[in-house]
Parts: sequence; structure tokens; C-alpha cells
Amino acid sequence: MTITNNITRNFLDTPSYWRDYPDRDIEFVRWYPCDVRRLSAEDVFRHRHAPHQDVSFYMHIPFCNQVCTSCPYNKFNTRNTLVERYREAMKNEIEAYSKHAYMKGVKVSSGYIGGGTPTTLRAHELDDLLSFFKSRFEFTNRCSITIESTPVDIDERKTEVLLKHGVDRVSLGVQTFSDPLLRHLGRARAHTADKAANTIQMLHRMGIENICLDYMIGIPGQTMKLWEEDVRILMQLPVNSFSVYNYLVLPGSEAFFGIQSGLTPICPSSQEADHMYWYFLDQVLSNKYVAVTYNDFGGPMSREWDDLGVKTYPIDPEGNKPYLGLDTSTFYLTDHLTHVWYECGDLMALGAGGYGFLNHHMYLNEPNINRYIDLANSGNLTMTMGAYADEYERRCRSLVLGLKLLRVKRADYKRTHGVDLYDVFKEKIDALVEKDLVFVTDDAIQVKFKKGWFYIDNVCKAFYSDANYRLPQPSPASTEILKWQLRNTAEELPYATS
Amino acid sequence: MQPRRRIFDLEQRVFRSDPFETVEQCRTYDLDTRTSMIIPTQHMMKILAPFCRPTTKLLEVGAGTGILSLRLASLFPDCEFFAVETNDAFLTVIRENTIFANLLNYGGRFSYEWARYSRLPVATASVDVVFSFCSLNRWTEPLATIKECNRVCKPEGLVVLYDLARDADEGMISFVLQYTGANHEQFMGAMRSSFSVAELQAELAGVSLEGWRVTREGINLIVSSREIDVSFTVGEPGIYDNIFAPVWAETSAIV
Repeated sequence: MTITNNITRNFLDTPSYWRDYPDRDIEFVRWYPCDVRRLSAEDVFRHRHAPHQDVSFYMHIPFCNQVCTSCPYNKFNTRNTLVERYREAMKNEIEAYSKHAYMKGVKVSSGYIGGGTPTTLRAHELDDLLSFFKSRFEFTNRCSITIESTPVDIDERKTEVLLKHGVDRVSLGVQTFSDPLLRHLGRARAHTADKAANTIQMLHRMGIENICLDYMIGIPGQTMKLWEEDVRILMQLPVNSFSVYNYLVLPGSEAFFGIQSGLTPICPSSQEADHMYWYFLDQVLSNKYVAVTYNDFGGPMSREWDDLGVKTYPIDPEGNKPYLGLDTSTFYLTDHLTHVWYECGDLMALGAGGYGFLNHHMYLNEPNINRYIDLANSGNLTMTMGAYADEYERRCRSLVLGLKLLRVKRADYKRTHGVDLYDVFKEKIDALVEKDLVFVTDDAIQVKFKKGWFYIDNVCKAFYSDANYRLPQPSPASTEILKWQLRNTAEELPYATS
Repeated sequence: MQPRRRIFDLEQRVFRSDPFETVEQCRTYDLDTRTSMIIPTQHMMKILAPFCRPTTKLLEVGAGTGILSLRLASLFPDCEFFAVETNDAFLTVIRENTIFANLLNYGGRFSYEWARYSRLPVATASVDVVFSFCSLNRWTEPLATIKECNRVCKPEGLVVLYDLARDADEGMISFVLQYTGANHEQFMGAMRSSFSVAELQAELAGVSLEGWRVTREGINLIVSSREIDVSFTVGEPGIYDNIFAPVWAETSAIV
């Protein structure tokens, strides 16, 4: 008798949220601090900590016409009545922020509208929401706003609305140009390679100057040959940025059982996936594209970007490849990343399950959509969970998240935090240098190409404080942890009364 | 800089009696076993697979919805599986699952009945493998039951009890808790009612079972009457390594 083990024991086993070098961590660090607890708007604004002028925003629209089989984010299938209620609630939330004393005189300098698929909203709904937002806040002249979409959830009318409201970048979840692979991903039937190409052309024709394309590595059935074809197509498209993500098989998901039962082909091995990644990297970087993070890229560098003052730096100064990274602090299109990840800047979260960072507090909005609607409609901000980042935690945060941008300049760091990063983190940095994961110059700390890129989450987590060590990234879809945390009084614990 | 605070109230074991009162609750748990709990379920199957030789008799104590025994019985039709459960609501779901399995011609040899765990309806030294999965935390008399498991197990046989470990890393508990959704009360109730490694080692020593092993693997606690391989990590920790490779085929014949 033979039996087969069709279940991953690797990504999906519980320790996958934390691995110490030389094991490769793969959690995809994106929020910090992680030591979250119950947090209300009153907690966040009790003391005014952060003198500020600019704020970024993240707007979460948790609806999809077709929910993908591997998506971990807070999302729901589109239901018109719920969308309508949600939109009204979000307007109330915007209103509440606009009247809040902390936001007085603040200008919005960048933003990201994600989900879900925000463009599942109809054109008039997008128009209404964005008009309202723009009527309540002042935006800077160079404010860059990105919106996520799919090839099938955006059309000319919606694009007109987006352009009208200053949305200048569309991030398109293309994933692959292989139709069979798209079916394995559970994408909508209408999402085909042709449709994706046509949508990109439409956006370009309509005047969206910045189109970002998302690709996936590790899709069930994906081969090196199919991947080479995807990379070749990418180079021919009118897009000036792109990202590559690893496909994840979530336990108990449709994809999980599809693969287990043999209905869906297996995923590439990690060696194959790594090979695809390095191939991709060589192709794009040798064609003058520039690295923003280890999985986000822009370019190719152009005269226009040069004229805007966009700066680059050598990724591998001691190597023989002339690959370049983007100095995100010199480019308005990457303001959002610089502001939020690098500078500990304020980030206003709108929508259920949105993460923000205001007044030195990282926070999550209520992820339950009905509770979110009720909270927002009662005139409240919807913050429900988060963590205060004191001076030390902010210094950590600028490296935990800043190093995702591959390089943190010492002068910038000192300007933000008043100290040299090496003085504060000498021991941690030396340990990373010893492992050949980063290097330090007079100007910056930089993630070592290629080894540090491979271990990017290990590198970022090296700067977690003791209070956050071995804690998972907070989930954007769950606050259950709050109900079980130790607090000051036993009466607050849910089981005390049961 | 603040040191890490304690996150959960898990210092003391807080026993709670069987929380599954209705058939509907048991059906929900059944779905969990097949979905969000699929990884520990697979882990337990991996542990047991090498011992499922032809003619082996296996007893599951606290079978819950019976899904683990049914799956193993399907994979090893030459083995004989017998399950006991004290909770009538679970027995209803075991019946439903068995009917469904037979409807699909699963081909296994599986039977079950109601029993007290402290008086197992099985002859002394008659079973090759005694096992339980995520049940220990709801046993009202855990030591008496463990002694019963030992009684019915053949001298050369094996007892394996798989449960949660209350002394698991709190970060790991946070990670799992975030993805339990509406079942967080069930998960944390079971966690609070579970043992730590040290507690169970001390308890076993108290009933002259010092030779038994208590291991923590991830968030789980595994008790075995002799040393077995319970490891659950593989090679290079990339996302896609050996995910869907038939690695059990080689190990299923090894005892």
C-alpha cells in the first residue's frame, strides 16, 4: 500500500511565520510594530506626538467580482447593497477624519487604493467617493495616487473618473499572460491574456501614464518556458513599473484541495521558483529597469525621469553587473513608500481592514464589514487594534520597513530620528554584515545583492525590538487575538463571564 | 525599549468540560478538521502511517467526528480501525461521515461505539496502535485514560496522543489564533485546557510511565509510549519544496 502526501509541510506548517537565518523567512513583512492590542481613536490621539504636514492614505475597498483562490486579504464578493452601504460608511469615515483636530492643515501627499478590487465599484460610485474625499482634504500638487484593478474590472468610463480625480497610477493584477495558468488561479473567465493586453493598451491610450503590472511566480502548472514568455511580453508593454509576488497555497483553500486532488497541477518547486525569480531579475535589470524593492521595479530609466531628478544607485557596487536601484526619496511616484516605510510618516487608513500609522500609532480599522459600517456611520473613526511606536520602535520601524526598499540612507535616517542608525543598531547591523546580508557605507545601509535579497524578510526582522521578536505580522482580516490577550483586569477576558 | 510581555493567560491549565454540545457544533468542527486544521491532521497521519501494516488493529480514543480514522482506513484497507467517543453529538457526526464514506466506496474497515475513556471496551494488550487527536484536552480523567490506553495496547504496540501544547511559543499561538476566525473560542478554550510538556511529563512519571515521550512540535504536544519520529519540518524552508511529492510512499512500510 502506498499513500501520497499531497499537502505542503513547508509553507503551511505553523512555524512558517518566523524563521531564523540560515532558514529563509517568507512571511512578507509589511507592518510594524506587531505587538498589537486593542486600540481606539481616543488612544491614538490622546497625546499629540507627531508634528506633521503631509499624510498618505490607504483606502481599502474589500470587494471582488471574483475572489481568487489564494488571496489572504480582507475581501468579499461584490454585493450591490453592501457596496452602497460601505461607500456611505467610508464617506462618513472621511468626514470624521477631515474634522479631526489632528488633521487640521494637513495635506494629502500620496495614496493607495487597494482591496479587494477597488474598481469593482461602478464609475459613478468611484466618482462619488473620490469627489467626496477630494472635497474634504487638500491634496499636494504632486500627490500620486495608485489604484489596484484587474484586466476585467476597469473600463474607459472608470478610467476617465480616475483621471479626473488625479489617480495617476493603475496597478493591474495581470499575474500571467498564460490563459491556462489564469484558470488555475481561479481568475474570472473573462480575464484572458488578450483581455489583459487590451486593458493595458486602453489605460495607456486614455492617458494613465503610470501602469504597474503584477506578476506571480509559483502558479500551479507554471513552467520556466511559460515564465520566460511572460517576461518577454512584459518588456513590450507600455508599463513603467511591475511587481512580482509568490503564489501562496493557503491551507484548506480551494487551491489547496484542487492541487491535492490532482485537479489542479502542482506548483513549481522552490528551486524552480527561485530560478524564475533570478531569471526575471537579470532580464529586467539588464534592460535598464530599476529595483524599488526586491519585488517591485520601475523604468526603464528615461530622459523624463532624469529631468524630474530621479536618482539611482548601484545595487551591487562591487559586482560586475551594472544593475541599479531607485532612490525612492527622489521620485514623487514612490513618495508613498518613502513616506510610510522609510520616514515613519503618517498614513490615514480608510475602510474595513485598512492599516494606517497616525500620531506614532500603527493601527487596523475594524475588519468586520458590518461592524465597520456601524462604527463609521455613528461618526467614529474605526480604529480597533494597533500599537504605539515609541522612539525606539520608530527607529526599528524605519529599518524593518525601510530596508524593504533595499537601502536606508544614513542622512535621511538621522534627519527623521536624530541619530545615526549604526550608533543605535551597531550589534544587529554587524551581525547582518557578518552573514553577508547587508553592507554599510558612509552613506547608507544597503541589502546585499543577491544574498540579502533572498533573505529580505530575515534582514527586516533583524530589527524587530525585543517586544516584537517572534511575533507574527498582524492579520488585516482578524481581531480575534484581542479577545484573548492578557489585560489589566480579569473581568475583561471573555471567558471570565462564561 | 520594552521587553516582550506575556500575551495570553495560559500559565495555569484551566480544564473545561467537553465544549461540543450540539451536533451542529460537531459538524462545524468536522469542517475545521478538514480545512483549517488540515496541517495537524496531515501531521498525525504522517506519524501513524508507518505503523499501519496489514492486520494492524488501531484504536482511536475520543474520535471526534471520526474523520481521521476514516481517512486512514481508506488508505490502509488491510488495517482494522475501531473508535470510541463519549459525546453523543460527535457520534451522530461519526455516523454521518461513515455513511458518506461508504457511499463513496471508501473501502476501509472502521467501526465505532460509545464508551467511557476510563473503561475502554477493549481487551488488555489487544491493540497494536492506540491514538487520539486533539481530544486529550477534553478528557475528564486524562491520567486514567492514558493508563487505559496503556492497558489495551500490546506490549510491543504504540500509544500516540496528539493535542495542543499550552506552553507553545506565544507568537505561534498568535499566528494561529489570527486565522481561526469564528472558532477562536474553541481554539483558545482547547489551548487553555491543554497540558504543557513539563506537566504531562510529571503526570506520566506519577503513574510509572516515565519511559513515555512528551514532545512539543510547533503548537502541538505529542505523547508517545516509545520514541518515534514526530518531526514536522523539511529541508530548505522555501515555499514550494516537495510540497506535493509522494514522500510517504517510502515511509509507509517502515516500522
